[in-house]
Amino acid sequence: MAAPITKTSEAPVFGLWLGRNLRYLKRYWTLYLLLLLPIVYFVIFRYVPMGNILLAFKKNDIILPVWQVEWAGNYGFEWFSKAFADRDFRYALRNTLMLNGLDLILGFPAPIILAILLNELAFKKFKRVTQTVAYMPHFLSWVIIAGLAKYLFAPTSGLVNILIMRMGLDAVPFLNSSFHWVWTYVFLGIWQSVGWNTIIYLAAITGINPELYEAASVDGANRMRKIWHITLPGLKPTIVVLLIMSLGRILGSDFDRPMALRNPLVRDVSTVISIFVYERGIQGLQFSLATAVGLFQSVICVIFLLAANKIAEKAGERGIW
Amino acid sequence: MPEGNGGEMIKTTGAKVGDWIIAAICFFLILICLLPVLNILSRSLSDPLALVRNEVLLLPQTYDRDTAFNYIYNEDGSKMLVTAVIENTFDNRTQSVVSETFIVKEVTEGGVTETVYVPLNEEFDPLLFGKVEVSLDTGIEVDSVEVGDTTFINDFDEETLTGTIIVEDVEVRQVSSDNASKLGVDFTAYTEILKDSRYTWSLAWTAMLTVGCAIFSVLMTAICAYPLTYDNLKGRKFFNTMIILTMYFSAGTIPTYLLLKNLNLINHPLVLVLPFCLSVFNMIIMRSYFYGIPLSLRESAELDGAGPVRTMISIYLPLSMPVIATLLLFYAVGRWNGYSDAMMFMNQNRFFYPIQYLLFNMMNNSMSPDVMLSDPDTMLGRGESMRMAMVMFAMVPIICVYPFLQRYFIAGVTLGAVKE
Repeated sequence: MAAPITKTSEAPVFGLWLGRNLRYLKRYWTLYLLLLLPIVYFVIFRYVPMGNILLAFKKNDIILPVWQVEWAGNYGFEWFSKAFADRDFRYALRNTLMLNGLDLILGFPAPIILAILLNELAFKKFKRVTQTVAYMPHFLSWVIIAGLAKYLFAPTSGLVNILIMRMGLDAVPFLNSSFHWVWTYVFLGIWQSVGWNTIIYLAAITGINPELYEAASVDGANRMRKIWHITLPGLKPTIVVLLIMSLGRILGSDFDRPMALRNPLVRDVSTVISIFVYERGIQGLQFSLATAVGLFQSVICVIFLLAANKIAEKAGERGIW
Repeated sequence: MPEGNGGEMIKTTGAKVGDWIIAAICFFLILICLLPVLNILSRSLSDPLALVRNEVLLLPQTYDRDTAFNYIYNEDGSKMLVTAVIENTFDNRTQSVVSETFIVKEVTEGGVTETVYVPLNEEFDPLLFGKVEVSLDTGIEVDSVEVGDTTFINDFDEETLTGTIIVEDVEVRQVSSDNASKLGVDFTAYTEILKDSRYTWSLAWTAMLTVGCAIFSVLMTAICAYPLTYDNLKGRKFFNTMIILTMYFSAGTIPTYLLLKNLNLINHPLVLVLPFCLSVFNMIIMRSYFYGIPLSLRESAELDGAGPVRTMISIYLPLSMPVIATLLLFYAVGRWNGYSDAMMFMNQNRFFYPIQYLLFNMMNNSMSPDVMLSDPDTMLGRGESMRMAMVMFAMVPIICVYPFLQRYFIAGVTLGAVKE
């Protein structure tokens, strides 16, 4: 039903543009109606709070709205310098990097290894069962996992320590000593996520051409060589993409996990940036400081993400956009 | 495909050693995943005394109470109330121990055998009353305790407590000190929780919240993803960029908190629904799925005169049941397991606490859940078994549901990863 567009320059261009657009709107206005609610959501709950970020550069005032508060000292960077001068913040920064770093070093290879193992498993039904069970920890909340851990790793009454003591060794304070807590934290993180993370890797493995395996068999490759030369290279794109994302999040912080697992004995290692923000900001009402810390974290995260993406593109893999 | 004849070279040769090793590793993995759950289940089903004595490993343990313990009985057979008034001569504190149950043990030290009464009332400081010893000097005999004349001395490190136990008519039964628990199931923890309306309400409320949130979120996700699949949508790039940007840069906790405060949502139950109702990652999954639906279907619908909304309702949504199931699961699990937003934004409104936050508070307070017990002994053990039962309640719904949706969430994760 379009009006003939073959009219010559006598047709006013604006009228044409208007006509076409009106027809477009008449046809597709409902799409914009559909998008209305989500866009409103994003604007209100994601973009409007960004205005409050200014609070990081202003003096701390709980009552006045952001634009009325006066600017903080030191060209607005007062809170940032205060944060770095604060020992708790430096500890929080250190803890975040340490815990995320350990998660990366130990927790990143784990699902890859497990995926390869599962792929090599010959007993199909058993593989199904293993996978189903392995997914379970992902569906538990951290409160539950912390509860499980607290009772399993208790110094005298926990199952693990009872077994250890029966073997004649000393009880290990898994959750009560700072040093052990870190390893328990990382272990529980792996326990929770390793099954779930194999999903992507297993999907990628099924994408590898089976003829490659057959050709390798013909050439006399045993299982380990096949894994090294076929499976791992086949997984390389997936590994790189996921590694980028993980590196980009190195300063990001989970809140649920450390909050559930911490206890007063291990405050010096368990306070991460998100918990610092919660304690100082929401509990302590130091809004400006907490906002400054949060902004610092977000900006660093974006920088890391962009940098990691650049590196990956240089290495020849797809980026994440 | 012809038999034999070159098929031999690629034929599998049956299970090899490596296969068994891998199977063993996987079996070990299954154990690591399941044993903790079994431990918690057993603890929730065990007798509190077995818990206090660390006798529960993987299977629930109970005691047969009447034969296991030594009760002090009145002549008419009813259990006796023993009141002990302990004077602490070290720092002049006076406390009262009330206990219906004492465990009588024989302790041999340095050739001297003593009979020890161990009250099992955890209401009091176990440091003071963990061991109440009978002094042989006062001539207390094992099978008779007389009214008003019992003196106990409790040596705890260097503190000396002198106390008087005031006893009413009594008959003491001798018993062995070795009371082993045996396998058995005790559902008291569960019945106690179900009787307490706070917990049942919290479970019901969280269930309602989860279902409502999941449905609402999936709807929001769908109406966000669908228009973005129209290539000729004007402003598509703008919308895409605007939405994806929020995945990488977020305002932060405090700015969000301030916004919610300005919207008067703090401590309002809606704060559990609105701020995180749309996940960009899930939206991408849904959009990728919509892209997979052949355009010809849309075109033929448009030829038939259907508008975009009609097309979505009649064609896209029915065909998208797998991804809808996946996202329902993702949102539901996220909402059921989440507690940090209640902690940050709805701390004062206890009525609407989601179950995980309630559990968090239960775990981190050294107070046991308030329980009115007619039997004052073993309150500590009862508290623990109730906590375990609560953990089971919070865990079981999801564990029962997720195995049936495996196919869907595997596909969903893969779809999301492919887009990335």
